[in-house]
Amino acid sequence: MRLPVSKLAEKYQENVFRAAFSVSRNPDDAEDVVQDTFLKYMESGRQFESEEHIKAWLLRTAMNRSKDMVHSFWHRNRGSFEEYMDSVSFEEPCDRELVETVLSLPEKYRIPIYLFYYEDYSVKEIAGILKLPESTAKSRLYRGRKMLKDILKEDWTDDE
Amino acid sequence: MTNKDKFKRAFSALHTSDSFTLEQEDTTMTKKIRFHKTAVAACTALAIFAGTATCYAADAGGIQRTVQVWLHGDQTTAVITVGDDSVTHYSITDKNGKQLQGGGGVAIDEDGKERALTDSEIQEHLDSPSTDTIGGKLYLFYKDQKTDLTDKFDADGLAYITLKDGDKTLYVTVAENGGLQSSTKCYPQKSDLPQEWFE
Repeated sequence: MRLPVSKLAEKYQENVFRAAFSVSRNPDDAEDVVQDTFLKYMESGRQFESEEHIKAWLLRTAMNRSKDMVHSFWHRNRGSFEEYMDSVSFEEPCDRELVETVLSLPEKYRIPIYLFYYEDYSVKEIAGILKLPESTAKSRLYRGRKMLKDILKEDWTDDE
Repeated sequence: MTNKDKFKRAFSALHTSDSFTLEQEDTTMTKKIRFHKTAVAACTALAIFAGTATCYAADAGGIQRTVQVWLHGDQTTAVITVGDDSVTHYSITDKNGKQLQGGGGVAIDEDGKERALTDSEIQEHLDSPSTDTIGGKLYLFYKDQKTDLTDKFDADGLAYITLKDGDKTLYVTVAENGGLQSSTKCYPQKSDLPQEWFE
């Protein structure tokens, strides 16, 4: 199946942005990634099994594209992380701390953490999206959680 | 409140900017260029960024010049424009004039003052080595040279490639993520590369 980009964008544009931002930590790069991701969807013409399948593909594509951007030497130097975070209206002050803490984790831990806690994916699904063995995804999630607990202490409960 | 509830509340505050509009027509979306380049003049930092050529073409009102640059092993036409904002913009077109890639940049001197890049600076960067993934394979491009890097990586995830251009020799170290650094004297070592490339 395929769905029109307009429908996908309306529903998942912000998810794609958040996934991209979680990797790049740069709002301008993340917006470029949103554009690139939907462009790639249009260009690929591939068929998907379901809407969930499309969403998982969009998120994976966005995160991979973000990694490319982050790892390129000429990483865009427009719009800093701090400036962007200052502009965000968080509901509670502790929300900003949580976002900053998660985004301070090494990439290999924060991506599974994001997919688990924000997108509600299971360990098996995360392994599928990131193309990792399930045991690796599980262990990264475990280590990421432990890091969050070490930093956030009582603001992060044990929930394994 | 569970961790998931806290997480969702916190991350839901992150949004695209108000000015962001997703272009939904294939023909209006221009592929962006990636740079993996390091050659920086001793007293001048070049900041080159990617963007849509369509956007820049609309914004730029300065004098346009056309130069030949290498793109994926072929000579193609790049249009360079110095805009009113002192940023040098470029767009690369194919033989039929269709825009393929675009971007721009500024030079920042020792005092932090910005100036537009010169044509030769833009051209030098466009003509320096770059990587791109095509058909799932990572390639290194340098002028008319195209190197398949698939089997070139060592146990550290690095490929060491020597590029020749006349009398000039360039030693290039490429990471598996496509990032690269080059030198005319020796191969950049792993310790010279950004740690993020290996996370």
